[in-house]
Amino acid sequence: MTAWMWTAAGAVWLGILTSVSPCLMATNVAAISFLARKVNRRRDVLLSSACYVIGQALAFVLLAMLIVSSLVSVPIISHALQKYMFRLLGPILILASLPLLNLLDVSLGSGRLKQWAQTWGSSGGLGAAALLGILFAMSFCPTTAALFFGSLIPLAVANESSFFLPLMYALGVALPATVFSILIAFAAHEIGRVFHKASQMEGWARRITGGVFLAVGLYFTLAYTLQLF
Amino acid sequence: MPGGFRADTMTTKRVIAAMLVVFALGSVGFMAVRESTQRETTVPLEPSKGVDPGPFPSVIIYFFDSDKECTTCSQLESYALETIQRDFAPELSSGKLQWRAINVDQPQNEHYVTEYGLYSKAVVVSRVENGQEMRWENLEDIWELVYDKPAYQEYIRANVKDFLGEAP
Repeated sequence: MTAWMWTAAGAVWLGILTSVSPCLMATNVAAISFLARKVNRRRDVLLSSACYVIGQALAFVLLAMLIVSSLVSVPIISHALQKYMFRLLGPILILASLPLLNLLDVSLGSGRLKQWAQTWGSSGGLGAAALLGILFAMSFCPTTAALFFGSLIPLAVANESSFFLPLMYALGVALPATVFSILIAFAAHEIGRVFHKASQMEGWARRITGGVFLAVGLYFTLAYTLQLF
Repeated sequence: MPGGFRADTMTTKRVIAAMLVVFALGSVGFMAVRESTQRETTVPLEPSKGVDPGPFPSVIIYFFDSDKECTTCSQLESYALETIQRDFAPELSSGKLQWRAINVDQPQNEHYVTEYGLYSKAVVVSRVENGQEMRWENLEDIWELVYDKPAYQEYIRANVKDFLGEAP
Protein backbone atom coordinates (compact mmCIF):
# COMPACT_ATOMS: atom_id res chain seq x y z
CA MET A 1 0.00 0.00 0.00
CA THR A 2 1.51 3.33 -1.03
CA ALA A 3 1.78 6.33 1.28
CA TRP A 4 -0.84 8.10 -0.81
CA MET A 5 -3.32 5.25 -0.28
CA TRP A 6 -2.69 5.38 3.47
CA THR A 7 -3.39 9.11 3.42
CA ALA A 8 -6.64 8.51 1.49
CA ALA A 9 -7.61 5.79 3.97
CA GLY A 10 -6.86 8.24 6.77
CA ALA A 11 -9.23 10.79 5.23
CA VAL A 12 -11.98 8.14 4.95
CA TRP A 13 -11.37 7.18 8.59
CA LEU A 14 -11.67 10.83 9.69
CA GLY A 15 -14.99 10.94 7.81
CA ILE A 16 -16.25 7.80 9.56
CA LEU A 17 -15.20 9.24 12.94
CA THR A 18 -17.16 12.39 12.03
CA SER A 19 -20.30 10.47 11.10
CA VAL A 20 -20.34 8.46 14.35
CA SER A 21 -19.91 11.54 16.54
CA PRO A 22 -22.70 11.58 19.14
CA CYS A 23 -23.59 15.18 18.23
CA LEU A 24 -24.58 14.04 14.72
CA MET A 25 -26.79 11.22 16.00
CA ALA A 26 -30.04 13.13 15.43
CA THR A 27 -29.15 14.31 11.91
CA ASN A 28 -27.97 10.80 10.99
CA VAL A 29 -31.28 9.31 12.15
CA ALA A 30 -33.13 11.92 10.07
CA ALA A 31 -30.94 11.17 7.03
CA ILE A 32 -31.36 7.39 7.37
CA SER A 33 -35.14 7.65 7.73
CA PHE A 34 -35.32 9.98 4.70
CA LEU A 35 -33.16 7.81 2.44
CA ALA A 36 -34.81 4.55 3.47
CA ARG A 37 -38.41 5.74 3.25
CA LYS A 38 -39.15 4.38 -0.24
CA VAL A 39 -38.97 0.77 0.92
CA ASN A 40 -40.73 -0.67 -2.14
CA ARG A 41 -38.46 1.02 -4.66
CA ARG A 42 -34.95 -0.27 -4.08
CA ARG A 43 -33.62 1.59 -7.12
CA ASP A 44 -34.91 4.89 -5.67
CA VAL A 45 -33.29 4.12 -2.30
CA LEU A 46 -29.94 3.51 -4.01
CA LEU A 47 -30.28 6.65 -6.16
CA SER A 48 -31.30 8.80 -3.18
CA SER A 49 -28.34 7.46 -1.19
CA ALA A 50 -26.02 8.26 -4.12
CA CYS A 51 -27.44 11.80 -4.32
CA TYR A 52 -26.98 12.23 -0.56
CA VAL A 53 -23.31 11.20 -0.91
CA ILE A 54 -22.89 13.60 -3.88
CA GLY A 55 -24.42 16.43 -1.83
CA GLN A 56 -22.06 15.79 1.08
CA ALA A 57 -19.06 15.46 -1.24
CA LEU A 58 -19.96 18.69 -3.03
CA ALA A 59 -20.22 20.59 0.26
CA PHE A 60 -17.00 19.28 1.81
CA VAL A 61 -14.93 19.58 -1.40
CA LEU A 62 -16.15 23.11 -2.08
CA LEU A 63 -15.48 24.19 1.50
CA ALA A 64 -12.00 22.61 1.44
CA MET A 65 -11.21 24.28 -1.90
CA LEU A 66 -12.27 27.70 -0.55
CA ILE A 67 -10.09 27.20 2.53
CA VAL A 68 -7.04 25.78 0.74
CA SER A 69 -7.13 28.61 -1.81
CA SER A 70 -7.33 31.07 1.14
CA LEU A 71 -10.63 32.53 -0.04
CA VAL A 72 -12.14 32.01 3.39
CA SER A 73 -10.57 32.03 6.84
CA VAL A 74 -10.83 28.77 8.81
CA PRO A 75 -11.71 30.41 12.17
CA ILE A 76 -14.39 32.66 10.66
CA ILE A 77 -16.12 30.02 8.51
CA SER A 78 -15.85 27.35 11.22
CA HIS A 79 -17.30 29.68 13.88
CA ALA A 80 -20.13 30.84 11.60
CA LEU A 81 -21.12 27.31 10.55
CA GLN A 82 -21.04 26.00 14.13
CA LYS A 83 -22.94 28.96 15.50
CA TYR A 84 -25.69 29.30 12.90
CA MET A 85 -26.23 26.00 11.06
CA PHE A 86 -27.71 24.08 14.00
CA ARG A 87 -29.83 27.13 14.85
CA LEU A 88 -31.30 27.12 11.33
CA LEU A 89 -31.50 23.35 10.99
CA GLY A 90 -34.43 22.99 13.42
CA PRO A 91 -36.84 25.31 11.55
CA ILE A 92 -35.71 23.84 8.19
CA LEU A 93 -36.45 20.29 9.39
CA ILE A 94 -39.87 21.35 10.72
CA LEU A 95 -40.77 22.85 7.32
CA ALA A 96 -39.37 19.77 5.53
CA SER A 97 -41.55 17.48 7.69
CA LEU A 98 -44.80 19.08 6.48
CA PRO A 99 -44.97 17.46 3.02
CA LEU A 100 -43.71 14.17 4.45
CA LEU A 101 -46.63 14.19 6.90
CA ASN A 102 -49.10 15.26 4.17
CA LEU A 103 -49.62 18.54 6.02
CA LEU A 104 -48.39 20.90 3.34
CA ASP A 105 -50.33 19.79 0.28
CA VAL A 106 -53.69 20.19 2.09
CA SER A 107 -52.81 23.80 2.87
CA LEU A 108 -51.63 24.73 -0.59
CA GLY A 109 -54.76 23.93 -2.62
CA SER A 110 -53.35 23.36 -6.08
CA GLY A 111 -50.58 24.58 -8.32
CA ARG A 112 -46.84 24.24 -8.66
CA LEU A 113 -46.04 24.51 -4.95
CA LYS A 114 -48.41 21.67 -4.15
CA GLN A 115 -46.87 19.60 -6.94
CA TRP A 116 -43.41 20.28 -5.53
CA ALA A 117 -44.56 19.35 -2.03
CA GLN A 118 -45.96 16.03 -3.26
CA THR A 119 -42.75 15.27 -5.18
CA TRP A 120 -40.61 16.02 -2.12
CA GLY A 121 -42.89 13.94 0.07
CA SER A 122 -43.28 10.80 -2.01
CA SER A 123 -41.76 10.00 -5.37
CA GLY A 124 -38.51 11.34 -6.72
CA GLY A 125 -36.80 13.53 -4.15
CA LEU A 126 -33.29 12.98 -5.53
CA GLY A 127 -32.57 16.70 -5.45
CA ALA A 128 -33.93 16.76 -1.92
CA ALA A 129 -31.52 13.96 -0.92
CA ALA A 130 -28.59 15.96 -2.33
CA LEU A 131 -29.82 19.11 -0.58
CA LEU A 132 -30.08 17.19 2.68
CA GLY A 133 -26.51 15.96 2.17
CA ILE A 134 -25.25 19.54 1.74
CA LEU A 135 -27.26 20.80 4.72
CA PHE A 136 -26.13 18.06 7.11
CA ALA A 137 -22.51 18.28 5.89
CA MET A 138 -22.39 21.97 6.80
CA SER A 139 -23.92 21.40 10.26
CA PHE A 140 -20.72 21.25 12.27
CA CYS A 141 -20.64 20.58 15.99
CA PRO A 142 -17.43 21.09 18.06
CA THR A 143 -16.21 17.50 17.61
CA THR A 144 -16.81 17.35 13.85
CA ALA A 145 -15.34 20.84 13.39
CA ALA A 146 -12.17 19.65 15.15
CA LEU A 147 -12.00 16.63 12.81
CA PHE A 148 -12.65 18.59 9.60
CA PHE A 149 -10.88 21.91 10.26
CA GLY A 150 -8.24 20.59 12.65
CA SER A 151 -7.36 17.25 11.02
CA LEU A 152 -8.61 16.97 7.45
CA ILE A 153 -7.75 20.49 6.25
CA PRO A 154 -4.11 20.32 7.50
CA LEU A 155 -3.88 16.89 5.81
CA ALA A 156 -5.28 18.32 2.55
CA VAL A 157 -2.91 21.31 2.71
CA ALA A 158 0.12 19.14 3.46
CA ASN A 159 -0.71 16.85 0.53
CA GLU A 160 -1.80 19.72 -1.76
CA SER A 161 -5.09 17.93 -2.25
CA SER A 162 -8.13 20.17 -1.99
CA PHE A 163 -10.30 17.78 -4.03
CA PHE A 164 -9.39 14.12 -3.55
CA LEU A 165 -8.88 13.98 0.23
CA PRO A 166 -12.05 16.00 1.04
CA LEU A 167 -13.87 13.65 -1.38
CA MET A 168 -12.56 10.62 0.54
CA TYR A 169 -13.58 12.32 3.80
CA ALA A 170 -17.10 12.92 2.43
CA LEU A 171 -17.39 9.25 1.46
CA GLY A 172 -16.42 8.30 5.01
CA VAL A 173 -18.99 10.72 6.47
CA ALA A 174 -21.82 9.49 4.23
CA LEU A 175 -20.94 5.78 4.37
CA PRO A 176 -22.61 4.74 7.67
CA ALA A 177 -25.88 6.62 6.99
CA THR A 178 -26.22 5.32 3.43
CA VAL A 179 -25.32 1.71 4.33
CA PHE A 180 -27.83 1.71 7.20
CA SER A 181 -30.58 3.27 5.08
CA ILE A 182 -30.09 0.69 2.31
CA LEU A 183 -30.10 -2.18 4.83
CA ILE A 184 -33.21 -0.85 6.60
CA ALA A 185 -35.08 -0.25 3.33
CA PHE A 186 -34.28 -3.71 2.02
CA ALA A 187 -35.14 -5.37 5.36
CA ALA A 188 -38.43 -3.43 5.62
CA HIS A 189 -39.32 -4.41 2.06
CA GLU A 190 -38.68 -8.10 2.81
CA ILE A 191 -40.71 -7.94 6.04
CA GLY A 192 -43.57 -6.25 4.15
CA ARG A 193 -43.38 -8.88 1.41
CA VAL A 194 -43.44 -11.78 3.87
CA PHE A 195 -46.50 -10.36 5.64
CA HIS A 196 -48.12 -9.23 2.35
CA LYS A 197 -48.03 -5.59 3.53
CA ALA A 198 -45.44 -4.26 1.12
CA SER A 199 -47.65 -1.46 -0.21
CA GLN A 200 -48.56 -0.28 3.31
CA MET A 201 -44.93 -0.29 4.48
CA GLU A 202 -44.02 2.64 2.26
CA GLY A 203 -46.84 4.80 3.63
CA TRP A 204 -45.69 4.07 7.16
CA ALA A 205 -42.04 4.67 6.28
CA ARG A 206 -42.95 8.09 4.92
CA ARG A 207 -44.94 8.98 8.05
CA ILE A 208 -42.09 7.78 10.28
CA THR A 209 -39.65 9.94 8.28
CA GLY A 210 -41.96 12.94 8.70
CA GLY A 211 -42.24 12.21 12.42
CA VAL A 212 -38.46 11.96 12.81
CA PHE A 213 -37.94 15.24 10.91
CA LEU A 214 -40.56 16.97 13.05
CA ALA A 215 -39.18 15.60 16.34
CA VAL A 216 -35.56 16.46 15.49
CA GLY A 217 -36.65 19.84 14.11
CA LEU A 218 -38.62 20.72 17.26
CA TYR A 219 -35.74 19.61 19.49
CA PHE A 220 -33.13 21.62 17.53
CA THR A 221 -35.41 24.67 17.44
CA LEU A 222 -36.06 24.62 21.18
CA ALA A 223 -32.44 23.78 22.09
CA TYR A 224 -30.40 25.80 19.58
CA THR A 225 -32.63 28.37 17.85
CA LEU A 226 -34.55 29.50 20.94
CA GLN A 227 -31.90 28.20 23.40
CA LEU A 228 -34.52 27.17 25.95
CA PHE A 229 -32.39 24.32 27.33
CA MET B 1 -70.77 11.55 8.13
CA PRO B 2 -67.68 10.71 5.99
CA GLY B 3 -67.71 14.02 4.05
CA GLY B 4 -67.90 16.10 7.24
CA PHE B 5 -65.22 13.98 8.93
CA ARG B 6 -62.90 14.46 5.93
CA ALA B 7 -63.48 18.23 5.98
CA ASP B 8 -62.74 18.31 9.72
CA THR B 9 -59.51 16.35 9.19
CA MET B 10 -58.44 18.73 6.41
CA THR B 11 -59.11 21.73 8.65
CA THR B 12 -57.16 20.18 11.53
CA LYS B 13 -54.25 19.43 9.21
CA ARG B 14 -54.30 23.00 7.87
CA VAL B 15 -54.27 24.42 11.42
CA ILE B 16 -51.38 22.16 12.47
CA ALA B 17 -49.44 23.04 9.31
CA ALA B 18 -50.02 26.77 9.86
CA MET B 19 -48.92 26.53 13.51
CA LEU B 20 -45.72 24.69 12.59
CA VAL B 21 -44.88 27.17 9.82
CA VAL B 22 -45.46 30.12 12.18
CA PHE B 23 -43.38 28.43 14.89
CA ALA B 24 -40.48 27.63 12.53
CA LEU B 25 -40.35 31.06 10.87
CA GLY B 26 -41.06 32.84 14.17
CA SER B 27 -38.12 31.04 15.81
CA VAL B 28 -35.76 32.23 13.08
CA GLY B 29 -37.12 35.76 13.44
CA PHE B 30 -36.70 35.62 17.22
CA MET B 31 -33.11 34.37 16.83
CA ALA B 32 -32.27 37.18 14.40
CA VAL B 33 -33.74 39.87 16.67
CA ARG B 34 -31.96 38.46 19.76
CA GLU B 35 -28.64 38.31 17.91
CA SER B 36 -29.01 41.86 16.64
CA THR B 37 -29.99 43.18 20.10
CA GLN B 38 -27.04 41.42 21.74
CA ARG B 39 -24.64 42.96 19.23
CA GLU B 40 -26.01 46.45 19.81
CA THR B 41 -26.17 46.38 23.58
CA THR B 42 -23.27 44.25 24.79
CA VAL B 43 -20.16 45.81 26.22
CA PRO B 44 -17.05 43.63 26.29
CA LEU B 45 -17.01 41.85 29.63
CA GLU B 46 -13.78 40.00 29.06
CA PRO B 47 -10.64 42.00 28.50
CA SER B 48 -9.11 41.54 25.10
CA LYS B 49 -6.11 39.25 24.91
CA GLY B 50 -2.84 40.61 26.21
CA VAL B 51 -4.31 42.53 29.13
CA ASP B 52 -2.36 41.68 32.26
CA PRO B 53 -4.71 40.93 35.14
CA GLY B 54 -2.06 41.41 37.84
CA PRO B 55 1.12 43.31 38.68
CA PHE B 56 3.44 40.36 38.00
CA PRO B 57 4.01 38.05 35.06
CA SER B 58 1.10 35.69 34.77
CA VAL B 59 -0.10 32.84 32.71
CA ILE B 60 -3.71 32.66 31.59
CA ILE B 61 -5.31 29.42 30.56
CA TYR B 62 -8.32 30.03 28.38
CA PHE B 63 -10.95 27.41 27.78
CA PHE B 64 -12.90 28.59 24.74
CA ASP B 65 -16.43 27.24 24.96
CA SER B 66 -19.55 27.65 22.81
CA ASP B 67 -23.32 27.23 23.15
CA LYS B 68 -23.19 23.73 21.69
CA GLU B 69 -22.53 21.16 24.39
CA CYS B 70 -21.12 17.66 23.94
CA THR B 71 -19.70 14.96 26.20
CA THR B 72 -16.18 15.22 24.76
CA CYS B 73 -16.30 19.02 25.13
CA SER B 74 -17.17 18.71 28.83
CA GLN B 75 -14.20 16.36 29.27
CA LEU B 76 -11.89 18.86 27.53
CA GLU B 77 -12.80 21.45 30.13
CA SER B 78 -13.09 19.28 33.25
CA TYR B 79 -9.81 17.38 32.65
CA ALA B 80 -7.89 20.61 32.07
CA LEU B 81 -9.43 22.37 35.07
CA GLU B 82 -8.77 19.34 37.28
CA THR B 83 -5.09 19.37 36.23
CA ILE B 84 -4.72 23.07 36.97
CA GLN B 85 -6.43 22.85 40.36
CA ARG B 86 -4.48 19.73 41.39
CA ASP B 87 -0.98 20.53 40.09
CA PHE B 88 -0.89 24.33 40.23
CA ALA B 89 -2.84 25.22 43.37
CA PRO B 90 -0.19 27.69 44.75
CA GLU B 91 0.10 29.51 41.41
CA LEU B 92 -3.70 29.69 41.11
CA SER B 93 -4.20 31.12 44.60
CA SER B 94 -1.39 33.66 44.15
CA GLY B 95 -2.83 34.88 40.84
CA LYS B 96 0.28 33.92 38.92
CA LEU B 97 -1.90 31.48 37.01
CA GLN B 98 -5.46 32.20 35.93
CA TRP B 99 -8.21 30.05 34.45
CA ARG B 100 -10.80 31.69 32.21
CA ALA B 101 -13.73 29.91 30.54
CA ILE B 102 -15.08 32.03 27.69
CA ASN B 103 -18.09 31.40 25.45
CA VAL B 104 -17.13 32.60 21.96
CA ASP B 105 -20.75 32.42 20.77
CA GLN B 106 -21.43 35.56 22.81
CA PRO B 107 -20.90 38.58 20.55
CA GLN B 108 -18.52 40.33 22.98
CA ASN B 109 -16.18 37.32 22.88
CA GLU B 110 -16.16 36.65 19.14
CA HIS B 111 -12.89 38.57 18.69
CA TYR B 112 -11.03 35.65 20.31
CA VAL B 113 -11.97 33.44 17.32
CA THR B 114 -9.78 35.39 14.92
CA GLU B 115 -7.19 36.48 17.49
CA TYR B 116 -6.34 32.89 18.44
CA GLY B 117 -7.42 31.20 15.19
CA LEU B 118 -10.02 29.03 16.91
CA TYR B 119 -11.92 26.45 14.85
CA SER B 120 -13.62 24.57 17.71
CA LYS B 121 -13.55 24.44 21.50
CA ALA B 122 -9.97 25.05 22.54
CA VAL B 123 -7.48 25.40 25.37
CA VAL B 124 -5.08 28.31 24.83
CA VAL B 125 -2.18 29.12 27.16
CA SER B 126 -1.02 32.72 27.19
CA ARG B 127 1.90 34.43 28.98
CA VAL B 128 1.34 38.08 29.85
CA GLU B 129 3.95 40.54 31.16
CA ASN B 130 3.35 44.21 31.86
CA GLY B 131 0.07 44.19 29.99
CA GLN B 132 1.61 42.67 26.91
CA GLU B 133 1.01 39.17 25.69
CA MET B 134 4.47 37.72 25.22
CA ARG B 135 3.45 34.42 23.67
CA TRP B 136 0.51 32.08 23.38
CA GLU B 137 -0.25 28.62 22.14
CA ASN B 138 -3.42 26.87 21.09
CA LEU B 139 -3.06 23.35 22.50
CA GLU B 140 -4.38 21.67 19.38
CA ASP B 141 -3.60 18.10 20.45
CA ILE B 142 -6.36 18.17 23.08
CA TRP B 143 -8.85 16.64 20.61
CA GLU B 144 -6.56 13.63 20.05
CA LEU B 145 -5.56 13.18 23.69
CA VAL B 146 -8.94 13.68 25.37
CA TYR B 147 -9.72 9.97 25.03
CA ASP B 148 -6.61 9.20 27.14
CA LYS B 149 -7.08 11.19 30.35
CA PRO B 150 -3.57 10.74 31.87
CA ALA B 151 -1.91 11.72 28.54
CA TYR B 152 -4.27 14.70 28.16
CA GLN B 153 -3.55 15.94 31.68
CA GLU B 154 0.21 15.49 31.22
CA TYR B 155 -0.02 17.52 27.99
CA ILE B 156 -1.79 20.36 29.82
CA ARG B 157 0.59 20.18 32.79
CA ALA B 158 3.75 20.25 30.62
CA ASN B 159 2.55 23.25 28.61
CA VAL B 160 1.48 25.23 31.68
CA LYS B 161 4.84 24.52 33.35
CA ASP B 162 6.61 25.65 30.22
CA PHE B 163 4.62 28.91 30.15
CA LEU B 164 5.23 29.50 33.84
CA GLY B 165 8.93 29.42 33.03
CA GLU B 166 9.62 26.11 34.68
CA ALA B 167 11.10 23.00 33.15
CA PRO B 168 8.21 20.78 32.03
